Amino acid sequence: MTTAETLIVVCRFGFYAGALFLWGASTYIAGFVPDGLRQSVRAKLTPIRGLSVLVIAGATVASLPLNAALLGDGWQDAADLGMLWTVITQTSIGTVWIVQAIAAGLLFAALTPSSRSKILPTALAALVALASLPISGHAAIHDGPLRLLHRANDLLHLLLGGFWFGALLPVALLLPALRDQSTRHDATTALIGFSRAGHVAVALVIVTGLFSTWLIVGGLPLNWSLPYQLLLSAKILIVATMVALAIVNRYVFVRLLDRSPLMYRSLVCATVTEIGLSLGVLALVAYFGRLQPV
Amino acid sequence: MRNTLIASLALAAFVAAAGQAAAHASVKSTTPTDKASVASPEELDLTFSEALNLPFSKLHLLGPDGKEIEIGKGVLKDADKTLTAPVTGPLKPGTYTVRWNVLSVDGHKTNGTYTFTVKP
Repeated sequence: MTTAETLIVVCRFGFYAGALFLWGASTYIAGFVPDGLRQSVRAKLTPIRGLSVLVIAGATVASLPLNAALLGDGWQDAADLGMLWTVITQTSIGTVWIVQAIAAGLLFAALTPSSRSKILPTALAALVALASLPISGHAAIHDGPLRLLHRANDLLHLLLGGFWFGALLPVALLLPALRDQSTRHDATTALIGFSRAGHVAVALVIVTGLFSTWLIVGGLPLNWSLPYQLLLSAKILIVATMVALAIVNRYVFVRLLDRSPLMYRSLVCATVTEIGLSLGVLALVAYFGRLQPV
Repeated sequence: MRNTLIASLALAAFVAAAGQAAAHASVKSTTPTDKASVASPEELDLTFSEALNLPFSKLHLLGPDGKEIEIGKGVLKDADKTLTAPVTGPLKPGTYTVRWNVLSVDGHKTNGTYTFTVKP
């Protein structure tokens, strides 16, 4: 990989992680965390929320000259305004970039004092950021209605996967509230909400993921001589591990929570591990999404 | 239940009929065709599996001596899937190489070459 290609992958990872986190954390907190705990969880997440917005903005700003360098004749094109303009106005990469720049602007607007306390502006801006992704990439390879279907499927995959990924951190932060009598009830409600919605989200993440794989690869990604299919298989393996861990979390650790303090520690540990694994998934997609799939 | 089944079958049939898209642009057909012997062509036509973005999609024509021959500006047609460039002036007999370098709407750059022969 050239330096520009490596940096593009880094930008993609940052953009995915930031946008999926903001989307998932906001929708989870808005939908499932009771009023009594909502403000404290949001306050704890404030630094990482600001960091996510900065990462998204940085990745967006950097990706334009990087793409110009890759599409044109190297680094001299990264600083060529005419070239940047051509990329923005005349390529699908440019269309994606325009939407991402708008999303970054909306995310900053959501941090201003007047809207900082609301959840909806951030959730909507993150939705715009995620909606930019299926415009280009492998979702764009078809014609007619199939292209629309593939894009809708990929967006659904992002929104549901983002809910799962983005909710993990607030969930981890809510776990200590289980041990405090005053917050135990609300924390339980929030975690039951995560569990219920999580079952549906994870099931649909798997369905939409398989459908997308089928549309791009034409079957299971078993041709491991192609790095794309090898890394997609690795991604599926990590997701399978995450699902197994989620099941153990929900049906073993949570059930035995009252019997042993060890279960509480296992629950925290498993949730943090899930976050680590999902970052691994995002890193894989950031890289192999640019490779030749078949 | 029955409706769900019918809907799933319809969806499967629709997707199967649409066929498997070859991801990343690949050449589906060319004029002149690959390795053909032809009279001096007036233009080069390359049809790809995907729509292209013109500013970063170019054709180059290399003569029998390997040197690049100037051709006209490329344009897109057929829903941006065909890249066409006019050949300026008749080509002398010999084997020519077309080098293509394209950016498809999925954001990926691909390239390749093919040859054709101009008959004496």
